[in-house]
Amino acid sequence: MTRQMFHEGLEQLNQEILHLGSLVVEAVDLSTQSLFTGDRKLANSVIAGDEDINELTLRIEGRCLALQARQQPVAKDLRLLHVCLLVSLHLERIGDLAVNIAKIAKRLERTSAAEPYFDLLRKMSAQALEVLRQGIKAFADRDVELAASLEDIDEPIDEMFKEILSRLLHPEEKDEETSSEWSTHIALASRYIERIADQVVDMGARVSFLVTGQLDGQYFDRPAPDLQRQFGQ
Amino acid sequence: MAGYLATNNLSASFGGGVQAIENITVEIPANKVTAIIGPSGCGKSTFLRCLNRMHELVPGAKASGEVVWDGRNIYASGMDATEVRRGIGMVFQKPNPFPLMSIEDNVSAGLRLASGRIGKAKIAEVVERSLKLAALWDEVKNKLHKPGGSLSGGQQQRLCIARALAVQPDVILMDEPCSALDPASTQKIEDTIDKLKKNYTIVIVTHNMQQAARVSDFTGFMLSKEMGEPGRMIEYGPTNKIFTMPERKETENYITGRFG
Repeated sequence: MTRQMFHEGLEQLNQEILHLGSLVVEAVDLSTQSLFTGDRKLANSVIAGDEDINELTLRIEGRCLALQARQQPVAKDLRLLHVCLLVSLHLERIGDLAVNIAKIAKRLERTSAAEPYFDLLRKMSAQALEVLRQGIKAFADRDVELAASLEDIDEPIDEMFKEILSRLLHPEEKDEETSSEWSTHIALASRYIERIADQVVDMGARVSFLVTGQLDGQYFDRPAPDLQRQFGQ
Repeated sequence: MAGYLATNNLSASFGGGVQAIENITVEIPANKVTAIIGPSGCGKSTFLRCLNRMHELVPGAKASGEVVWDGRNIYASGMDATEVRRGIGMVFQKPNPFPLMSIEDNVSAGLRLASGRIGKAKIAEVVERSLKLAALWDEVKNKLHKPGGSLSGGQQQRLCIARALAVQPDVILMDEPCSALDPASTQKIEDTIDKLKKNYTIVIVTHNMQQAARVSDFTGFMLSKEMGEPGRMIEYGPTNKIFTMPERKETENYITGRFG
């Protein structure tokens, strides 16, 4: 494998991550739609589509391994390979969470008591989808500022998740239609949406590392005694 | 600390005013391995040979600036170049044992030159200690009287390391010590380097970036702007940092193979 083939391999890897990202965005979008509409066909398509996501993730992992084994990447190439592997795992996990949501969509009873929760879940999923889109954009554009802002976009999701849990635990009026199975499904769906956004926030930290080489400033050895002077020249 | 080296605006030229390196200021920590990498002709070997005053052995060659070793500038008037080279030893690219001299005499050659008459028992002790440090003892202990030239290339290089160690230096400079060796011998030398840093400071010039990444604690990247221009130290820092997140574009281009 020549060096030029290596650089082409890195670009293909980059494209594969973006492709994986678009598959995962679609899975999250369709799974939450199926949750609100009860469209079983849509839910099944998300569950079936997860196979493509898993396959692409494995292909990315294989490519990362082969490039590392044969090219001993360093510096930005090393960081890209490392980050692509981790980002692909985050995205694959998000795909699994979308499948979990689709499975709930197939089982969830839709009653009038669900409406206030659905309002919150709709807001949560719209926000989670936004975090996901921005997370993938941050990777595509190597945008550190956008990556850092993901945590802020995620914050309302955490708040809404807490609110759903709190309401389920302490309902204002005892509703006869509320069953423990139903409330567990609502709790789980909100948990899965909240986890999707958390995965994206972690992905953002990987994007920051890709660009800056810093993992919360913890990664590198103490600088050489004269580092300051050398770089100051 | 005895093994600590620092250069201050070190420049070197060859006869005819050809400037080889320019204004290199670095600190080389004691008991660490420091690797110098860079393309051919960037002055890596010249830099290394300035660190123990071997550069000036080339007719017309000159060095300016300072190399501070153990608190003293080795280029100060009154410094004895032989003493400098005893304290800062050198191992070369091609193993260069005295081929007909016995293994034992190869190791003790420098010691006998430096110390005059010394007893056989003392010599035997130093030979054993040096060969053990160079990880060669087990392979040669039963044939110490065989000629140095009878050993394999990798063994000869470790013999040269033992010879450098016999005079008890503080620092060992290695100029492409593995470029003539096969992967197994290279691994043995790298293992030896790793063990030696406990007691010695090691500076290694290597063309093999993976070797620099494997063996060194600190890495310096040298480059000359154009062919014929003097080499400069572009970047110097912890090896983890240089190979993960170099500060300079030139370093990144070189180590990722995007050079030129």
